[in-house]
Amino acid sequence: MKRRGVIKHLTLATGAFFITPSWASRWSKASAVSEPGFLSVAERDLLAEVVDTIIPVTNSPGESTPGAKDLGVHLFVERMLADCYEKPTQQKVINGLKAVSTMSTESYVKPFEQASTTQRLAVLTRMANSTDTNQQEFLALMKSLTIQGYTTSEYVMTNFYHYVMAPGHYYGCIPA
Amino acid sequence: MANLTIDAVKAMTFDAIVIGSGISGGWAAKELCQKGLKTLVLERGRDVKHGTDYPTANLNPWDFPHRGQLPLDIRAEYGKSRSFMREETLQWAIKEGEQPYVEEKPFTWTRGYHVGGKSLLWARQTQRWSDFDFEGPARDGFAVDWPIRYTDIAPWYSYVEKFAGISGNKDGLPQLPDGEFLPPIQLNCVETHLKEVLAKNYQDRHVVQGRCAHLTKPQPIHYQQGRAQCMHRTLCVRGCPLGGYFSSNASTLPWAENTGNMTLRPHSVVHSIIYDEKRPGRASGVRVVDGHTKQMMEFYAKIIFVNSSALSSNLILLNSISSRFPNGLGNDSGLLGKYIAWHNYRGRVSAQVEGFLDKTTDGKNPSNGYMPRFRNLHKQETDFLRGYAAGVGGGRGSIQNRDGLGADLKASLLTPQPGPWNVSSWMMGETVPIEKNHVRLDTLQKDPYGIPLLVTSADWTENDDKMVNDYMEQLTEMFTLAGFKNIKAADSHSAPGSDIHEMGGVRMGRDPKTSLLNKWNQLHHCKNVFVTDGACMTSTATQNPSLTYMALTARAANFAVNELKKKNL
Repeated sequence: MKRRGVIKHLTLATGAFFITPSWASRWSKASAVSEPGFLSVAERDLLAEVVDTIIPVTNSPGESTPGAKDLGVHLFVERMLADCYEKPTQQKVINGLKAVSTMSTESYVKPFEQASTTQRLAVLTRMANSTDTNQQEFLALMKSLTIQGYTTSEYVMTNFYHYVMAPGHYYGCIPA
Repeated sequence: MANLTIDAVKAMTFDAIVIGSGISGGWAAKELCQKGLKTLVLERGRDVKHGTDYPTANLNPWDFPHRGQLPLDIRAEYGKSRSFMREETLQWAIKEGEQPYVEEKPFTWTRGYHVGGKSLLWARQTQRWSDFDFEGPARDGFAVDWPIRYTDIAPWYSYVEKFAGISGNKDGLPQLPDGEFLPPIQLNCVETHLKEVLAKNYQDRHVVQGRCAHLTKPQPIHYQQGRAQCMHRTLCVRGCPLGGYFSSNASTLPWAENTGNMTLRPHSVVHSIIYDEKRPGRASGVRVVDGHTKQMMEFYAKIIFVNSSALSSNLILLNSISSRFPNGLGNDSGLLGKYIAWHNYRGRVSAQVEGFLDKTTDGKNPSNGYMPRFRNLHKQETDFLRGYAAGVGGGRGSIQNRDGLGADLKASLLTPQPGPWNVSSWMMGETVPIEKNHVRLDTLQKDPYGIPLLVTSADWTENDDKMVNDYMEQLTEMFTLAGFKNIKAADSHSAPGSDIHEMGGVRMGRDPKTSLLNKWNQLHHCKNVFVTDGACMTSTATQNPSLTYMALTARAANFAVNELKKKNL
């Protein structure tokens, strides 16, 4: 296959160039995971369930497609919130997680983590449609970061979006 | 020099000094070294070795922990250096305070403080000028007449094009002369459609493939540089490990290095050029502040090329004070720092395209379509001077339905649908240099190296506003004729300099009373100092300027070496 040849060639030519500058030391996956974020362990676990409700594992015959939690999207979301957002937004997220927890307990007498898929979706849908703008904004932010993390993951980009770093060509007008 | 031993002076002495390692400095280095001159290349920033120093070049989107967005603490550290504020390009940004400047009026000054300079950041578009451009000031009565014409520079365009590797199509247009081209990058369906519509409706409006510095079909000279074919990664701004596009790092600097004649000295902030009081009309060397130790030192040479980028070159000359030149080196005319100009990139017109749904593109396009200047070309036809070119590009995106939550949302995300075609054009207008638009030194404030801060004082004129309006009207008309829908025209009102094409201040001309440089880019009053970057530009034309800097530099370097041999310098 010609395309594979191109990529192989590229790797040979550039394989030695993965040098990370000092300012990018936070890039290694290990440090990103172990680095303390602004969430407690319980909040982090709840966040994982929230992102996994937004994009869950799905099964079609003979195949299971990972959800957001499987792809570590909750860690991405926490990292984004910790590094790229101001304190008031971080607090809004902590409050939002509390609200998720409270709504689940009040409606279903069980923590969000133990609620059924339908119940969890009902909680998040209520927040999306809430008259409380804090809840609305919390859910909008969770949804947008979850989509960003999921759709830019290696799994989705390579298996669903045909991501190729070096196409080797540009055809300007071909049959669709 | 008095306190140094003869050996110490010898160690600091070269045949030539080149200030700056960017697109023009790289060419000066290559030409001078190739002709046998021991050449010191001074770069104020850090070294960037081709290939090994492009830290993000081979990272996938998911390798970036914030997917490109920068953490707040890093944003704070880099402050105003906004253009390159992404995780993938942060290595090219300069930190707040590295070289502050005083914006008397808002001016965006983008700098590339590292070996290779802005040759790692450029858009890689390489259009030749024509005599419609070189004759512009004389015809339209502004600035001062260029001392050269197209025939003077044409062979040097060819010379640099063959080495750099320029992709393009021979279009036979007088306002955009053809060059030494590698195969062009294709236009897409919509760009081709627009091209046909314009050909049918106008005599003088064209869409061509933008000529660009990409190796679409490398020649032996490019393989000798260690470069390879462009792989259409379109990750150019991270630095290209293949050398698929031209940069100083991939091309001219390694070539100079291979001659054994180049000494490259990073972390060398040039303070000023030393005027030789003993040899009237000559400079003896440069004063450099070491970026680490902040110690001042001197280097000496027979000729000096100033290529530190337009405004920095102005700053260095303004700061080169002697009893002979109390107002800056070579500045008897008092014009040094004046007639600063740039490109007007304020206008943008975009639209949606109906149809072509049975067609698509494949791969990635590192270039775009290009509409050469048509306004006021053969005669003055509007109430503003000069005209504009336009970039034209677009393509077909995909649509993701993001409604809902859970399994439905996921299914939509994983099955994006092909979207409609869209098209966009961006204005590249000529600004007319006027005396009022200038840079000068601040009389009090100094930077961390003890060098006076540069004051930028430049603003738009009524001519620019009129031109933006005309661009928006004309592009809307052309897009309407092409059947495009939902046409949106906008004026960004961005600050001057946002185009990163600042020029002038040390302009070329025929008369020492009205210019700083002669037709060989040689200071009229200090013959062994050559300025061949954007500072030398008498007017700005509409074309992306880098190719012209390369050609002027190679031409001036060739002249300088001949003059040295004749013992005229």
